[in-house]
Amino acid sequence: MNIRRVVIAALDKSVGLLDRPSLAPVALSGGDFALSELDIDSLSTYEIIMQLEDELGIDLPPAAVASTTTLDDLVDVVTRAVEARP
Amino acid sequence: MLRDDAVGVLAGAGFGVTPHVDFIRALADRLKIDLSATLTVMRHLPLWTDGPQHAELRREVAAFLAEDRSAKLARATARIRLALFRTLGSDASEHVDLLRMVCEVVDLFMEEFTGLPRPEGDPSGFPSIFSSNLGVAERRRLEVLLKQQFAQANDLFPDEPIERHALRVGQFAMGRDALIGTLGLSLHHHLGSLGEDTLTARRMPAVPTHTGLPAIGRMARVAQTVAGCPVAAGALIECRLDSLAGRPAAERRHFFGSGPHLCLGRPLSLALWDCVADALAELDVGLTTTDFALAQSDVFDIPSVFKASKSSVSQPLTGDPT
Ligand code: HEM
Repeated sequence: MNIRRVVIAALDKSVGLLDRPSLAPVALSGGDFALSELDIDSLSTYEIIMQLEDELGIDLPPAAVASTTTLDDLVDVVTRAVEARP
Repeated sequence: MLRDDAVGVLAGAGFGVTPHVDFIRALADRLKIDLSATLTVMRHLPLWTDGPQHAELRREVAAFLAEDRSAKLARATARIRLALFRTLGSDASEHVDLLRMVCEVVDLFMEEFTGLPRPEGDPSGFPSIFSSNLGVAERRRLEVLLKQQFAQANDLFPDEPIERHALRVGQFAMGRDALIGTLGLSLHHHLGSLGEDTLTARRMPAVPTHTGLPAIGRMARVAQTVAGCPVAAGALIECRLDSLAGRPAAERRHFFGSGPHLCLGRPLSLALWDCVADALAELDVGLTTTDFALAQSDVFDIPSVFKASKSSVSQPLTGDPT
């Protein structure tokens, strides 16, 4: 499973990542960017968490997600949660 | 904030409670998920309100906890003594699961005061209604657990209104984890301080020596300076109550907070401490911790493992006070 693709889809659904001309090409070509560019508020964070949890069958504590600063960081956190899945 | 500063913040008027309930309501609306049981319990806990609404809720909870207090305490004390003597009073040298014993003691106590049966399973694995660090899947699991408790309350007290069920469920949640954490940690340190001595050598201190509720969050109402640090209006701070560990008993009483939100379960908790300390001091057994681990969440410190080896006694004890 391509976790990066699932993360990008979750960011797109809740904060419209792929509608952003400056960020979409970076995300789709394997590049990294600061999540602060997406203006994610605390409720959108939970939308992203819900999508990732439902899609991947994992638990994601908000503090772990809030500690990430870039797309790559977030993909790492989600990958670890998938690996820790019972 | 530590010690005096932490207690001062809780007692003073410059800080208010965090808007946790509003956030959970907004979350349920935004994600279109059912958190109705969670919100009902939250609205019946005085923790997240200030002002007249808080005073009203506090009165309600205080009255609920005071109902039949002496009879409930007497029943709880008798059952707890039996449980402690059953686990520790045999004449065998053996390994004992002190986490199980602590949970049983606390659950017997909470059962008497809330009328609700104890939940199954390891308490450190339960999602807590007080946590700000639950993802959506965990919030849904918590919702299911709370709905089960509401259903139990309804089966046991079918004539009561839902508000009353919410008080029972809410107080169960308030008391249980704080007590298991605080008793587990305090007993662990008491055993450490006894060394080779038996439990009769020294009574467990009457005020907890350590707390399972290490910190309380507050939000600044106005810009101010605390302990020499500037704090902006709306900033969140953490009052570290665990920094009171090792202080004299009078200071450790602030494990129960201070000011308008001072713990309403404090007299009950101290009565539980007396009951446990009395019973343990009658047991001429040595207990040495063999395995101890702490599960730390953003709210509670709760032992996840607490095992000890018990040295034999000459005569089995029953715990029956007659
Ligand atoms: C040793 C165990 C306990 C500890 C360390 C403890 C600690 C605390 C602390 C620090 C607060 C203040 C929270 C704040 O200021 O935001 C508090 C509030 C409260 N506690 Fe406890 N507690 C314990 C046991 C219990 C029990 C057994 C009950 C009920 C049966 C209980 C009921 C409450 C209630 C209702 C409040 C809210 C008071 C308010 O907001 O006005 N507690 N507790």
